[in-house]
Amino acid sequence: MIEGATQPPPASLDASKEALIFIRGVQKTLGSQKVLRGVDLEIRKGETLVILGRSGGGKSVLLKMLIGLMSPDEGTIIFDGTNLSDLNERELAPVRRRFGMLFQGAALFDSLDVAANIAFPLREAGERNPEVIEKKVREALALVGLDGQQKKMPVNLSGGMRKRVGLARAIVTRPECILYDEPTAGLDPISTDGIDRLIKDLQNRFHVTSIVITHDLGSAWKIADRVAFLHQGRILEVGLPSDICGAKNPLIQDFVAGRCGEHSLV
Amino acid sequence: MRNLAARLGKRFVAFASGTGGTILLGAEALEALFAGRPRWGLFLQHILDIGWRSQLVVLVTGAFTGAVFAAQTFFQFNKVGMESAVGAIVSIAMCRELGPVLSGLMVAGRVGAAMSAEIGTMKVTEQIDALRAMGVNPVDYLVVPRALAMMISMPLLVAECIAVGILAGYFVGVDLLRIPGAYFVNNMLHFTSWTDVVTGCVKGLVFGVLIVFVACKQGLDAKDGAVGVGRATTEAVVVSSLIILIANFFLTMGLNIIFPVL
Repeated sequence: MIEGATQPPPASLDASKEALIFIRGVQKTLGSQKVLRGVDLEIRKGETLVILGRSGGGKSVLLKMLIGLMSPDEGTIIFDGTNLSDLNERELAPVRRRFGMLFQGAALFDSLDVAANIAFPLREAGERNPEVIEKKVREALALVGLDGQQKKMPVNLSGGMRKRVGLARAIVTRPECILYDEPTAGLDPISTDGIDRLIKDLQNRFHVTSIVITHDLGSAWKIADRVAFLHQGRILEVGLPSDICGAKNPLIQDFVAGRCGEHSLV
Repeated sequence: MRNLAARLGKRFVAFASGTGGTILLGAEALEALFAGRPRWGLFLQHILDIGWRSQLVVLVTGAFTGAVFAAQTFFQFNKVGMESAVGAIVSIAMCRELGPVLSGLMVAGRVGAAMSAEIGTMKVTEQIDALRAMGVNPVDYLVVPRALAMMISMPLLVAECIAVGILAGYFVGVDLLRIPGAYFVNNMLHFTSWTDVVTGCVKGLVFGVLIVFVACKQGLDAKDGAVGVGRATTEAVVVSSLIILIANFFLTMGLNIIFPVL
């Protein structure tokens, strides 16, 4: 065990679970920077996979590729048997509706109030009954502890509140798969624990597949079934939280211990 | 010398890619018109923003342009005793050139800038990615309702601008400069035909389409945060204003073949 690391609880890994997403040899260059250099990863149905790694390592780019917001230069991403690279923007729409996504900055629509933001994916999915929409919005807001804030505009919310509204919007349609880009960044410890519980709760109650990018190791150990460590565009290690915590790779050791060692300066 | 050539080449490539991108956006919007879901609520909201809320600026522009044009024409024509032609000249100029071009420039400044700033801000704050992540095509949601609203609003704004310009010209010519009203109106009606009004409205429609696609394209391509949004907004106004002036020449020549001056 790495010195100084927080202890992950023992997690169960059901290797027999069917893979929902296959990522094979994915490469991406943005400008002159090679962000992903051949990522191979499998995400299983109903699991919570946490992707760890240093800032600028390509985690957000990888997450956006899973929903087709960016396309790989090389390699394939297969979601439930469909190669996302084969689909154009219009054909991707039904695939994307099976996902929910929480963006790093929440990405709330400035022109809509909280209720309209959360109702947006419901209306796009064809829900027209105002009572049903209002009930679902209230339920989603209650889950993130913000019931009663329906009429506020995004500009009047704190960073943490925006994030929680973004999370409510991501889960309101009960998607099969939710992508979280730093769900607990900027939140107080109590809200962080609430979000962690919510992610686990969605997994247990609705068998939601979750892919979470975070730098919060405490959250990672709490919610992860598996952890992948992405560094300089490659997956260095995938395994149970305890595997990552006990990894031999000095880079991962430094990351887990929160230590700026000679390897982490590379 | 080589640096200059490289810089010019870079500018040309940027111009060609911008023009190509704007044309492709237009084609995508046309496809979305048939393939996408109609969004009547957004369409009406944009009619309000583009058409209704641009009226003041367009009416003031039309009124003072008509007034000053009538005064200047009178000052010159008065020397040769042709002041009764002022009404006809103001009317034809407002219909064929001044109404559509000045309305286009004012709308490019007011609406084009707002469009590119709003869409650009959505782009740099990942709101457009959020739309796409929810299975919503940004062209369906952001571009098509604006384009349709602009296509309805611009010809009407141009018609208003023409009407107010002629009324202002009448006021200046007849009430202030003492041109006989009967000559003013009779010559105006004799030399102005419905084709002049149609020419102005067609130009307005084309300018509206150009403003929407240039502004939306600039917004959708915005990057680098607030600085990028500012750059996109400036580019949207400058490019659409220049395109209006350039397109106006070709439209004048083309429409003169379809609707020749009688």
